[in-house]
Amino acid sequence: MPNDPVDVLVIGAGPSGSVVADTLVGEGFAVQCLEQGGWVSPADFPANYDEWELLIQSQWSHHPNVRRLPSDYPVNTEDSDLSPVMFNAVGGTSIYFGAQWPRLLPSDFKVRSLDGVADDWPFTYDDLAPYYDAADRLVGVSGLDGNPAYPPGLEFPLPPHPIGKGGRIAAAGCNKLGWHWWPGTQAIPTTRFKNLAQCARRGTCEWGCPEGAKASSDLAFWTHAVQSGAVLTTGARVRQITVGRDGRANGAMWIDRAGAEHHTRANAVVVCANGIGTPRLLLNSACPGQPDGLANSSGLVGKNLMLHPNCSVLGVYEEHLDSALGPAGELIECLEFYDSRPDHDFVRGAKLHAVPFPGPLNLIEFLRALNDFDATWGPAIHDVVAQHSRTLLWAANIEDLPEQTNEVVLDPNVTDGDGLPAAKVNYRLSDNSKKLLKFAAQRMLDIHEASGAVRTVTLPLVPDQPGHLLGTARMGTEPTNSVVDPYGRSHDIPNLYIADGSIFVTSGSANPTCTIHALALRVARHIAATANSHQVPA
Amino acid sequence: MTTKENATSPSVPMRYRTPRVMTTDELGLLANMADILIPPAGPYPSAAAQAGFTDLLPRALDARADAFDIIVTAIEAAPRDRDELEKYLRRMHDHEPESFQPLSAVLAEAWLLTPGVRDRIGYHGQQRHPAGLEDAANDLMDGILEPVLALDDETPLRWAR
Repeated sequence: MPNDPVDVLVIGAGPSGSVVADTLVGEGFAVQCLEQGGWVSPADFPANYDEWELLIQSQWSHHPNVRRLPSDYPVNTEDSDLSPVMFNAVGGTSIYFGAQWPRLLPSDFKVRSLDGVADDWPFTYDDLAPYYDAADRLVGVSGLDGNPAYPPGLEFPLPPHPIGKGGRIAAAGCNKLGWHWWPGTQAIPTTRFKNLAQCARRGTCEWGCPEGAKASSDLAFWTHAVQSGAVLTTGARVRQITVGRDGRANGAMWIDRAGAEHHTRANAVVVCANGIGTPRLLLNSACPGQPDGLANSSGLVGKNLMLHPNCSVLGVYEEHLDSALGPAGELIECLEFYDSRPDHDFVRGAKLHAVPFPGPLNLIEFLRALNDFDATWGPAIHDVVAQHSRTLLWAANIEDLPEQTNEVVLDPNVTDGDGLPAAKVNYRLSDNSKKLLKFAAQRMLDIHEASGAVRTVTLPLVPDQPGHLLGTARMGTEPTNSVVDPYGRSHDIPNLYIADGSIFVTSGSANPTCTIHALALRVARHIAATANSHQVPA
Repeated sequence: MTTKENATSPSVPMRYRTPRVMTTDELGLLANMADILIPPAGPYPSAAAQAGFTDLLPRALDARADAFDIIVTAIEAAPRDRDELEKYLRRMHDHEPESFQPLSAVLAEAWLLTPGVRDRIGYHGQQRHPAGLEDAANDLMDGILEPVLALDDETPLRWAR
């Protein structure tokens, strides 16, 4: 049975919640986590079935509006250029992440100073580096040391994955152009690591690893956290964070799968519900003392949503590239255009990554973007599917700058299965992002051409990727222009913390899960360090 | 409409099954559609003529049982004449992608799952292929990384401002 009250109540069992819970239970705190989803076993994943490429179109879709599982809540995207994705389960969206593990770069922490846009983070890369290092060791990151794009000393606990035929041909193209590339860094162990299996290169990382060989948070953290004493309550949808007369959070009201309501009392609350779920919960937690939503005196809860718009270019080659081989993930990454350059008509940049492209039906689905019947169907179909092992995909994360008009709000008309207002995303691509997308797609075409692709197909905007949900409860030192302080602590409520991607100040273009882990670790250690006799905070 | 087998976790999709078995007439029309989308070519038979297609079609339909009603509606509206059926599919492709996508995906997957096609295109699903101990090193041994390291020598840490 959990303590009453618990020392720390964590809301959400995804990457940040898992790190916070595992860290604090290890420090001796009584920790309970409320998660609206449940456990997913590696045996459940669609890649266990031959027809996996059909299963991922609906039942196992990345999109909650398509899956419509009991753990999901609707996300209204009718006024959005992108349709952000997530997975609601123990492990959160890491169940579906590709496990790409790049850190932000030093420039990402000082965008305002360098480029005159957005804001600087309240700390530097060097400040976060020890937490990055610790997170790498916790999850078992595989990578090649010495990437020259980063400050010296970047080393990983496990050796890198092979870049394979696809990676080599992509690298050769970059070399021909004189551009940076580096073997992919991934939270996928190249050797058995703790309770994670060695990667078997099944290639379906983004639809769950049937080998248990990806550091999704259920495997990387929760097994250990629960064994250490953390209480993980699944099927628990939080309706409201509750606040006492003293202005402090005192727990949360939640609904179980049978529809019964519960209240869990806590000395501190850490919200880890992702960049959409966290603002939704804070807004749903409005109370007489905080009618605009909890922790929202700045009016910035839900604002500044950043989504890393993606574009991609598929290349077809003469030679076989083992396109079904994982990890996917990334084979190599290219950071040549990560940063601002004076000759560009936009600021900031993009991370480009070469990834495998498994499955002939997935290839057919990609080609639907061409909208040409005869290019895919009829006699052409035989050639199309024969290309499945000769394809390589370059994809780009675009740095999305914060804008208050891009936001998560409560939907006035749509509710989830428990009657709680759903999230509505209002999001439009900025001119800067549009220019970046166009630029990145052209550079990826350049690489394919340099690598000798015989055919390319461009997807100028991937509408339902990625699950990078950032910025909606930003960090800062000033309560007027940020929601939480540099340690994730609410400016308004002293024992309420946020530890997920919501607290990003800017997005960078590196895949964010690595940074989410580092930030969550930093938040958790700060909570531990500042608590007084476990009455959090002192 | 679908039927579902119970799943115990709220995060695990139920295994869907179509609410009923397709009739012989419906399966025949689906086969005709498949043969237009995937006609014979050289030594390769059309989709429905590929051994195993008929047996695998129900499995593919189950996997997209969420689209069962869409597919049945498409069948009901489909002309029987072969040329008209092709025009119908082309129209659907151009103007009703939300119907054409599940229909064509199911037919293509039933064909792709047949042993003959799998052997021919060399795809047998996402199988285990653990890397060899020295594969990662071998991929880099010929100096393919040297140009990148030379970039760093020319303009050290130009990204890491």
